Amino acid sequence: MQETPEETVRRYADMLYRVALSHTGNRYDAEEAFQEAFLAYFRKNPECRDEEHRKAWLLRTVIVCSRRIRAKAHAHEALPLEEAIGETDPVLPEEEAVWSALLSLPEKYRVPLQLFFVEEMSGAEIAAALGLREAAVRKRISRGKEKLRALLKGEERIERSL
Amino acid sequence: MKEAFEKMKIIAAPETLIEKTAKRVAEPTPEPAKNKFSIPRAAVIAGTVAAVFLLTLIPLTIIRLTRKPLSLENPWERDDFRAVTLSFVEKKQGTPASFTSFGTAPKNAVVKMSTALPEAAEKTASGEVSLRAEAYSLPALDGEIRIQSLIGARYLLWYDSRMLPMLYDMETGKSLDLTERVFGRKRYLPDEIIDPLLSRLTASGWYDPEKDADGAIRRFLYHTLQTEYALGQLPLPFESLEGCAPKDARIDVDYLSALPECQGKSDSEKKEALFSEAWLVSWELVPYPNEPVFLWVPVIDAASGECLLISGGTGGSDRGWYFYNAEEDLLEGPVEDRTNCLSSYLRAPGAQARFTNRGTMMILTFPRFSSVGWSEDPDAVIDFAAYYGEETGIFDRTNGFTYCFSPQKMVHGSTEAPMASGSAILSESGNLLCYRVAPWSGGAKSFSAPVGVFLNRLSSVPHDDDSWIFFRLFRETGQVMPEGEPLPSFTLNGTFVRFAADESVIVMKRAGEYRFFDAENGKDITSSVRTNGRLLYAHEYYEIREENGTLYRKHVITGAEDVLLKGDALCVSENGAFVFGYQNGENTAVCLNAATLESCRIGLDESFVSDLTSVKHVGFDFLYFEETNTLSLTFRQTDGREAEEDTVDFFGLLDAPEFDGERFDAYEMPGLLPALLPTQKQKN
Repeated sequence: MQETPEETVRRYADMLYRVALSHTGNRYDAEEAFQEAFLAYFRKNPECRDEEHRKAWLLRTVIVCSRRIRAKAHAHEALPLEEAIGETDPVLPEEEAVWSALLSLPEKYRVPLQLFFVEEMSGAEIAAALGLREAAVRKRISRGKEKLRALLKGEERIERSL
Repeated sequence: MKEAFEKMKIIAAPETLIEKTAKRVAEPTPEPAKNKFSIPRAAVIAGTVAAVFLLTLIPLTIIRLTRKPLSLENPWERDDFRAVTLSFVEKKQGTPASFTSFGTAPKNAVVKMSTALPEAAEKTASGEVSLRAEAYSLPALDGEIRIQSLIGARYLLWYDSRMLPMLYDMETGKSLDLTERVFGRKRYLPDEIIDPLLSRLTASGWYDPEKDADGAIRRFLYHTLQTEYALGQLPLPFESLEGCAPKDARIDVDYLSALPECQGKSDSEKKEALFSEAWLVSWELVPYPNEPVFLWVPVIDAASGECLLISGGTGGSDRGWYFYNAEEDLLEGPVEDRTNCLSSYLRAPGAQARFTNRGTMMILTFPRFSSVGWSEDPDAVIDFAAYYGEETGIFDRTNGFTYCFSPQKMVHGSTEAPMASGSAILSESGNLLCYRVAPWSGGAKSFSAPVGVFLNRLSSVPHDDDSWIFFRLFRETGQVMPEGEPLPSFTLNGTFVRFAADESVIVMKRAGEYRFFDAENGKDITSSVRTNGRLLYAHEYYEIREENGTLYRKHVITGAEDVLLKGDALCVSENGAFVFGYQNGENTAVCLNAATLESCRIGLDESFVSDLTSVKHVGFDFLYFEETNTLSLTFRQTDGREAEEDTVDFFGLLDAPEFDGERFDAYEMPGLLPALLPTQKQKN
């Protein structure tokens, strides 16, 4: 049976929302990018060979939408993690630190890292989704990890000094 | 860290957002709102023409009475039509001395101004064009003046009846003799040269008042004259823009800065570029023949050099070529005020592309896939296609055509025809194409199909008894030959070595001896080259080969051969100008100018070296990216087997498998580039 639009939205909702969130840094823009991506998908109705292809298509689209929205320079402040995940959810300091550090990374590292660790996509999948070579993705993940680690260590040092 | 990432997975899309989105996507798609960009192009042009026509008919007396400036609505707003109206009043008589209006649409660029203006004439000018009184004290008004263009509301480009191109700076009142600027002396150029040259200068929209307009003009003219008309003997200004179709480059844009900027964003290591009227589009070539292919398209504003947009997209496959239309992204993106759309292509291994004719034509050669696969397929054929972007920069498959060469008749047709297997090598500009012809058991000649041909490189070793057929393509007219007519071609025997950088010479090798041929007609000019030298860069005088971990270079004139470099990993840059090497266990890599032997060393990351030494059975790969001046060094586990000898196929290097992302690193080499730039040959 063919999937309904809502089922499609639900299937990729969390992933796309998280990617949009990390791209835009705030919920409002993320929601806009999220909707734009799905609207584009259903409007264009691209021919996707399989689920992976569709996933990659949506990922790229939400990234493009997020970029465009961000380029419009909406002056929203970056969203704290607790707001992103809901005020009722507990937020551990470690998560908060990782989230902040992740957001502070350049996009080229942030997105592969997120897709790799959070969305659990393989290097090949990320490469396909981002239009990169797999080697480049791995390089970015590797370097992104280093940068993230350095950022977190820096925060740790600051915390200790306080 | 990983645990923290795990907990980030609890971030979920709000239920209200999901519901709202699902509801929206379920709604019928509304008709797109009509906006200014949806006005039919013809209507826009017609309206513009009508507006200009009306402006032209405005009585000058009204202008004089009212003294109101003419409204100049950004004459450079549209690429396809630019118009400006100028008015002049002759002071002594108080009557209009001349009134001219001109458009700079490509076919309507020249307006004749028949009335000479006296030196002391007072002129009024208006709008954004602030013409000064002396602005039209042109020094050569005794004859017919042809105003070619008003550039950037400041420079008036014109030439007189003697075909002396001049540039008048209306801000400073200074005139520039362009030929003097270019050649160091006045030089009167014939119509057939200056007309297209100035048209191109006008149409290219190169002007940027914030930049060195004088220098830009000089470079532009020089570059064009030198490359297109073989005038002048100075080095090309874009010598370091490898792989970026330098003939189509726009001189006003600092591509050398813009490209790395975009590359930094897109991480595209290997790009080619399409220069359109308004944008530079480059794309990454993703070399996976059997995998989904995705396109990464940075778009650079050709006027400012700013990276406007990076767009990713999915390509559709068409026999190894992947097509992506960036129109929607462009229109929806930050460049929404553009009315043109751009398309780009992505290629698969074995295919080649060149842009010619100022980026309006794309030439492709590619192997036709079969069920067996593209490589080593005895039935593989080479298609040759030309796609036209016209003025819009749109490359449309339906607008182009594919045709094949028939080796026996040496004619081409517009329909696909059976052809023996073959492969082609395109010169850098795309103007020269050579096919290798090998003996065929059937008695007639056929085209052989070396695998992995990329640019001037061959992965299989050609033989002396090979025949090479050379075609000169489109250079003169930008059009293909009429169907069925013989192609201008000639055949050379031996081993093809290279096209000279300026494509005037073909270097072949026969029985160990290098021979040189005029690329125009195939005439043997070996003695002339040996005596006078015809190759532009010093590195072109060397052929580099690798054998048993050693790079050798052989001088193509003297035949002298020496060792260039030894190493466990060796790499020759695509143009053969420099080489790289790494010795296992060392913490530096060496870079060498193949001609001058200037060298430098790159310090490798300690952990990287540590990883290298801790892994057994290692194969190395170097890859140098000229545009970013980055050396990438990869290594891979070979399971004790002999590392597969890499083809010289560029993509073969890229495809080197990695067993761990940590074992890949790239090194920036700021300051290294000058030492590694191709060295121009000193004239005797």
